[in-house]
Amino acid sequence: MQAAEKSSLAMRNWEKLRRNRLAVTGFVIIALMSLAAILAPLLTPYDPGAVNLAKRVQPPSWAHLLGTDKLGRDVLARLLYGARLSIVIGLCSALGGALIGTVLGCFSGYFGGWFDKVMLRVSELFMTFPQIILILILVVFFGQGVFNLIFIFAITGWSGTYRLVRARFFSLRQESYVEACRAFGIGEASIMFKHILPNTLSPVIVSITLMTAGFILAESGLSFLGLGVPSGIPTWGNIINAAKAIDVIQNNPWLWIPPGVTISLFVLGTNFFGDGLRDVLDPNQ
Amino acid sequence: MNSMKKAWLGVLCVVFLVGLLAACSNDNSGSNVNSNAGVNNNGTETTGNEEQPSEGASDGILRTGQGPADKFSAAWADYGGLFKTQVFRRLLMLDEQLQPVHYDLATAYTMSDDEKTYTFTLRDDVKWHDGEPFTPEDVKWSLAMAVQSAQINAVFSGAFGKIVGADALKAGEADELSGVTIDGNTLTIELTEPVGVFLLTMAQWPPYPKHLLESEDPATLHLASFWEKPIGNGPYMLTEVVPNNYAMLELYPDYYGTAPKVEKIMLQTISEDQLVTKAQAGELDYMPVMDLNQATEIVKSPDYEANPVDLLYVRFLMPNLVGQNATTDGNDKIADLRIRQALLHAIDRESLAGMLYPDQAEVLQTLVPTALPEYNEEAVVYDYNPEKAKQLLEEAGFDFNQTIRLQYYYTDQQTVDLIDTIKFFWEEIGVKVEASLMQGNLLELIYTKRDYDFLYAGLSAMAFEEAYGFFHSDGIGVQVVGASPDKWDPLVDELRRTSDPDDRMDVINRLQAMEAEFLTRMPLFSMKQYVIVNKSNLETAGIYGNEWTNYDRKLEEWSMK
Amino acid sequence: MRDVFKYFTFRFLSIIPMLLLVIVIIFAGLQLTPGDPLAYMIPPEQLGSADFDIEAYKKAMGLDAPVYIQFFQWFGDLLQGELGFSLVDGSAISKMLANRLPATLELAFAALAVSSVLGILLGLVSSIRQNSAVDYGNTALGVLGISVPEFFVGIIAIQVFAITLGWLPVSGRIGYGDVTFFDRIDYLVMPALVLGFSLTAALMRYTRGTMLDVLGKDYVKTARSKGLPEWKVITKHAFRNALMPVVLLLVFRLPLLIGGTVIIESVFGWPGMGGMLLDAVSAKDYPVVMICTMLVAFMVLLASFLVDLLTALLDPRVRFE
Repeated sequence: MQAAEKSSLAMRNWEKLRRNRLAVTGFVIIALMSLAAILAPLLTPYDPGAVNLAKRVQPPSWAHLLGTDKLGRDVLARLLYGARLSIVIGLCSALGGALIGTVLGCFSGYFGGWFDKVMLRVSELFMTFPQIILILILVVFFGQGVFNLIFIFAITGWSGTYRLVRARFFSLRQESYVEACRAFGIGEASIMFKHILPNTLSPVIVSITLMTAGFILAESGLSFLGLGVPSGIPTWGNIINAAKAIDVIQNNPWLWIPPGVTISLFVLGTNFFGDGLRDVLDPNQ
Repeated sequence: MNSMKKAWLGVLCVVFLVGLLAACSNDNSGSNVNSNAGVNNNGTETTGNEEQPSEGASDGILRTGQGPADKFSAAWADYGGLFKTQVFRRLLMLDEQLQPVHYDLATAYTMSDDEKTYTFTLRDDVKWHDGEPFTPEDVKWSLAMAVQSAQINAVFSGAFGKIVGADALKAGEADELSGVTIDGNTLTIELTEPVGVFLLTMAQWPPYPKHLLESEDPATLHLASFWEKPIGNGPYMLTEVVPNNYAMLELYPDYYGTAPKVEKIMLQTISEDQLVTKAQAGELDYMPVMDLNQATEIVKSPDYEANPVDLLYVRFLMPNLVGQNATTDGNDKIADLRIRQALLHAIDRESLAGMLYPDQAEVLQTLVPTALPEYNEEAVVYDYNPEKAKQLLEEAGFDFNQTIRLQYYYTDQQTVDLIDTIKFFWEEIGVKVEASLMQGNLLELIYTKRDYDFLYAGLSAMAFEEAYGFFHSDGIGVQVVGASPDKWDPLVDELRRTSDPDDRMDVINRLQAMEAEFLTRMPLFSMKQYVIVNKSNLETAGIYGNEWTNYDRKLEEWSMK
Repeated sequence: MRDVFKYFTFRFLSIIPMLLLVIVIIFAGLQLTPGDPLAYMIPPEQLGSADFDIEAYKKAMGLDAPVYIQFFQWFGDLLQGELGFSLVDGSAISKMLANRLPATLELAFAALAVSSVLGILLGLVSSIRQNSAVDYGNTALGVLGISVPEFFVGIIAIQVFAITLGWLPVSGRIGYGDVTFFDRIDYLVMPALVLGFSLTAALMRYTRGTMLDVLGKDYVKTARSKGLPEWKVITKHAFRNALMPVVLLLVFRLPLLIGGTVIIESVFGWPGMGGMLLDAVSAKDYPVVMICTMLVAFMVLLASFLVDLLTALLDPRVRFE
C-alpha cells in the first residue's frame, strides 16, 4: 500500500520531470557524457598518456578526431579519460560535502541548543568566506592531488546542505508524526535518521547535483591557477590549463575549444538537470 | 516603531556609502601621492592628454617590462636588465667579447702581479640622482655592506669574501673592511688570495649611495624603503612610480656620460604570460623573452624582430646520489654509474630539443654549452641509444620493479611537457617512473629531504665558478651528489684562483671531462634567450647580450622612430 | 531604542573574540605547513651555488625564534597598527595593502554593482513573465553564466575585444598619463563585466526564485484579489518582501571585495589582492597570508553582523520592545 503510494508519487515526479524540457536536455547531456567517459577505452584506440613527438600539435583529422596536443597525445582520448576523473572529483566532493552537511544539519536541527547556535555561525562563516581563498589556503596545507582536492572541496562545500537540512529538521521535528513516534517510545536516533531524514533528502539531492557542477568548475579554476590536480593526470581542468598560452589560443584552437566546451556543456547539463529536479522535488514551487 | 527602523536603515545606508566613498577617495589620493612622488605632476598631466589618441606608438616612450611590484628588487642578487643597468652604474663595463675591460665609474685600474691588489681610479664628475656626488667612500661602504649582505649573488659574495678583513667584518670584530683603502679618487682593494672573476665582478656589481642607505642593516638592505623609488647614478632616473603598474625612467640631466637619445622609458609590470598580448597591442618595444613560442608569436607582427642571445643557461637532471637516508651507502637505485649512463642514453635529447624547443635549445654534453669556446669536445658524449641503455641496465643488474622518482620545480607548461616526455622515454626501456612537482621549501626539499632520484633543475650562471662550485665539498651540492674532495675540490679551487683566460680554459676542460665521466649531473640542454624589438618604434644599436647581466648595449645610440 | 543599541553593541562586540580566534587559528595553521618562505626568495638556480649562507639568512629574517615569540611579536605590532613585513620582499604589508586593496575594491565593487543591478532586474522580469521567452532566455543566460569557467570567458574576451577589435587594453589597471578614475575606466570594463557575468547569473536565479516564492504567497493573492493593479502588487507587496533575501545575498558577497577576484585578476593582470594572496600563499609568506585572511575574516564577520542588522530592520516580525 505504502509502496504503491510511493511509486505513484515517484511516477508523478518523473512525469513532471519529463515535461521539463531543460531538465531532460540536461539529463541527456550528463548521461551521454558520463557514458562516454565510462566507455572511453571503446571509443578511442589511443592511450591518453602516449607521447608521440613525431605527431605534435596536429590539427583534427580522421586519425585524430580532435587533433593532438603538444606531446602528440590524442586530445579526444585525453578528454574522455579526463572526464572520468573530473566527474568523479565533482561528484565525490559534492557527496562528501552533502554528507557532512546532512549529518551536522540533522543534529543541529533536531537538538537545537548551543550546538545549533555555534554550527549556524560556523556555517555562516563558511558561506561568506570567499571559497577560492579558503581552498587556496587549504591546498597549501594538504598539497595537490585528487584525494586532497576532493577532501578540500568537501570541507568547504558543506554549509549549503547543512542549512537546508537544518531548516527542514526545524520544521519537521514539530510535526505530529514525530510527536507520535516519540509517544511510541522510538529512540531519538531512529526518529532522526529513519523518520525525519528521508523527508529532507529531495533538497539534498538537488544541492548535490548543483554542487557537482560547481566543483567541476572549481577544479578547472584551480588548475588554471596551477593549484589543482598534478598536471600529468588528465582532468578537464588540466587539459584546458595546458592550452592557455596565448600562442596556443591563436594557433591551435583544437587544444582549448574542445575542453572548454566540454566543461561548459557538462556543467550546463548538470545545472539544467538540477534546476529541473528542484522544480519537481521542491514543494515550495 | 516603523519610523525608527527606517531611521536605522537610513543611518546604515549612509555609513555604507561613506565607507565606499572613503575607499574610492583613498584610491585617488593613493595615485596622487605616487605621481607627486614623481618630479613633475603637471608634466605627466599634459603629456597624458597629448598621448591619449595615439595608442602606444610614436610618443617617444620606450616601453619595456621589469616594472615595480610593491617595490623594486635590489640590484645585488639580480643585477641585470634595462632598469638596473641604466639606473645604476658599475666601475667597469664589458666589451663586445664580454671581457671586463671598459671603464665606467672608474677611469683606470691596475692589478698587481700577484693578482691580489687592485686599484681603481674613480671619476669625480658622477652625481647620484638626488644631486649628491658619488665618491670612493660610496664604493668602500657598499663593499662592506656586500660582504655582510644576505641577498647577494654567489659570485659577488665569493669574490668579496676574499677581501682582506672580510672575515673580521662578518664575525663582527671590525667595523669596516681593512682591505679597502681610499686615497683621493683612488680606491685600493687587497685580497687574501687571487680571485679569477674579480674584474668581472666589478663590471657587474653596482655600488649603492651611502648617504641614503647608511642606516640600513646589511641583512635587510635589499628590503629598505629606498627600493620603492631607488636613487642611482646612471643616465636614467626614476620620475614616477605606480606600484604594480608601471614606472617612468627619464633622462638624468647631470649624467656624466653621453646622454641617450631616448627620453623616456616606461617599465611596465607584466607577467610572462602577458608578453604576447602586450606586444600584439603594440605596448612593448624591447623585452627579453625566454620562450621561443612566445617570440615566434610576437614576430608574426611585421613590426617585431626577435634577436637570439647565447648565454650560460643550462637545464639538467640532478641525480640524488646520497639517497634519502644519508647514513646508508647512498642511493642504490642509481648509484651504479652504468644506470645513470643508461638513463641518459635512453633520452632522445636531439628530438626533444628539436621538437619541444625548436631552434631554442641545444643539446648539452657538459654544463658548458657546445657553442662556447670553453666546451671540451673530448668529454664523453651520450647519444640516444635505447638498445645500449637496456644493455647497460642489464649489466648493472637494474631492478625493473622499482620506481624511479623524477621531480621538477618549474611550473611552466613546457617543463611539464618535457617531464612527461622524459618519463615516456624511460618507460620505453622498461623503467618505472613517477614524476611529481616539487613544491614548498625547495631548499629543504632538494638538500635535506631528498625525496627523489632525479631532479630536473636549471642553472644560469655568470661564471663557471657558480656552475662547478656546486661540487666542491664546501658547496651545498655535497648533500645530494656526495663529497668527493679528492676529485672536485682541487680543480674547483684552481678555477677560483685562476684569472688567465687560457689557464681557465684548461681547468674548465678538465672539470668537464670529470663531469661527463661520472655523470654527477645529467646535462640536457642549453637554452637561448630572445630579445624582441619593435622595429617600427625603436632603433637599437644591434647589440644583444645576456639581458640579466650588465653589458654595453650602447644605449646612447638607441632612438625612437 | 536603548534595546536596539544594546543588541547591536552586543553583536558588534561578539565579533572581537571571533576575530582573535580566527587569528590564532590561522597562525597555528600556517605554522604547521611544511616548508618556509626561504626557498622563494632565491631563484632555484642560485640555491645550487656554493656560497649561499642559509643560517645567516634565517637569522636575518627572524625565522629562528620560537613559534610563540614570533606570534606575540607580530600580534603586538599589529595592535600598534604595524601590519608587519612581507617575508618575500620585505615590503610593509600596510603599504602593500594600500597599493593593492584599492584595485580589488574598485574591481569587485564595479562587478558587484553591475551584477546587482542586472541580476535583480533580470530576475524580476523573469519572475513576472514566468515561462515566457524572456524568462527562458534569461534562465539560459544565467545558467551559461554559472557554467562557463570565468577564466575561459576572460581569455575569449581578451581575444575579441582587446586583440581582434582593439577596443580595450589587454591587461593592467592604469596607463601612462591616466590621472582620474575616468582616464582608466577602459581598463576596468572587461574584468568587471566578466566577473559580473558569473555573479549576475547567480543573483538573477536567486531573485527569480524568491520572487516566485513570494508571488505564490497568500498575501500577494489577497492583494491581487482586492483588485490592486499588478505593478502595485509587484512593487509594493511582492518585491519588498522578496528584497530581503536578495539583499542578504548581496551582503554575503561583501567579502568578495577583499579577495574574491583571484582568478579574474590573474587573467587580466589586475594588480589586486588576489594576485598578492596567490603569491603569498605559494611563497608561504605567513604575514601577508595572515593579514589578508584576517581582512577577509573581518569582512566576513562584518557581513554577518550586517545580515543580523538587516534582518532585524527589514523583517516586520522582529521588534525590539
